[in-house]
Amino acid sequence: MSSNNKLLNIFREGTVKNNPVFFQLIGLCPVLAITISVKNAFVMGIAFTLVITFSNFIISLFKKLISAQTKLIIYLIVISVFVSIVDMLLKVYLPTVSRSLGVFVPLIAVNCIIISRLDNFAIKKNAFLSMVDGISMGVGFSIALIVVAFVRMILGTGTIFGYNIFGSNYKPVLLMLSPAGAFFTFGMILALIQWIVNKKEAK
Amino acid sequence: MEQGEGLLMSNISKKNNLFSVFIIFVALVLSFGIISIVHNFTTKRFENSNYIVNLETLMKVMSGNYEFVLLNDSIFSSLKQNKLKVYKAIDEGIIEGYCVDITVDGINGEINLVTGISHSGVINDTEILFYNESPTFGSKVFNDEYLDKFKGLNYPMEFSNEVIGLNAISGATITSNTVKDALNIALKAILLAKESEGLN
Repeated sequence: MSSNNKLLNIFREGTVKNNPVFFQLIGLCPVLAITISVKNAFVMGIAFTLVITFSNFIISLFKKLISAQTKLIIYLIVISVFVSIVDMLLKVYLPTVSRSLGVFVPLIAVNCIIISRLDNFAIKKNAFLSMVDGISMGVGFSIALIVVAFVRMILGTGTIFGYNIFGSNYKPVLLMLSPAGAFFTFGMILALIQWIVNKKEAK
Repeated sequence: MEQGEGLLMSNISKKNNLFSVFIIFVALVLSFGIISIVHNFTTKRFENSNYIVNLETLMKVMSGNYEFVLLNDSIFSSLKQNKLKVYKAIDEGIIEGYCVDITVDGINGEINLVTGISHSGVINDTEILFYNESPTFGSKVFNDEYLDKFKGLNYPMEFSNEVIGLNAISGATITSNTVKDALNIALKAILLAKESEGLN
């Protein structure tokens, strides 16, 4: 396999084929909690992508120094450093979004997507491939956040980025903005994806 | 022979353990260093950006360029509000009014607002700095049309719907009441501030 194809494959795995949220169903906490607006989802996606990419890179770079007994401690130290940096930068440059995301930015430190990628990919592969894997997983996670936020905003408010989609007669489905609405939206999207996958496989 | 091998294995395992501890130690020291550097870099900027936002907002709600002096928290301890800051607006040594920066709990998290109150005890203007309510609830309450209804109100007064002519906003009753309550606390805080300075 050529190196370009290999990179494309890794990227496709993280974003589509093996999307951490829609296919592996892990790291769902922020997907359900912060998708009340597309802006929040976008910023959370960027924060997550930065943390997973740099954590993958560092762990892969120093993999020969990390023993099996201590790897989990090292993973958590590395992830925590990047989460702290991202959190501090958000507080300075995007204070309103940072307050709105609340505890979910620090909680990236214990996100199982990152720990699973460090253990399954970064510790075995080279630094460059690990970075690509981090970016692909981050983009996949961000896409999931944005899609859920988009559906919730449209149905819950009838507007998107200030534009009224359904006209003034539309009565917003307030349920979609509540935590129950997050589960409902996520379930509908999962069902749609499974329907598409099944249809493709049947062909 | 077997004993020798066992001893060798135990020495190797000891060395590995020591090496692992050393690696964790180095990782912790490096992490501490990196976080400290970023913290130093961001703390100053964080304070500056907060100050600029506050100053601009304070001037807006007081409709003028004043010197703002933060009052001591202990004056307002009876209000039992942790997130309350009161500023005196001073112009050429004369107190022209007060600004109250208050954070209260809404349905979905904190609501932070700043209100300017003139020296004669009239609400001048109110700005919502932060809220986490859903956009539907938020847009009903956090707009100028709603907040303008509080302009010109005196203190002390009860913020009942009848008194200020506000009907409960459908679908956002709790949020709108939270804003009213916050303004009520702000007015009480001004009473305490004036009392502490012997102005009553």
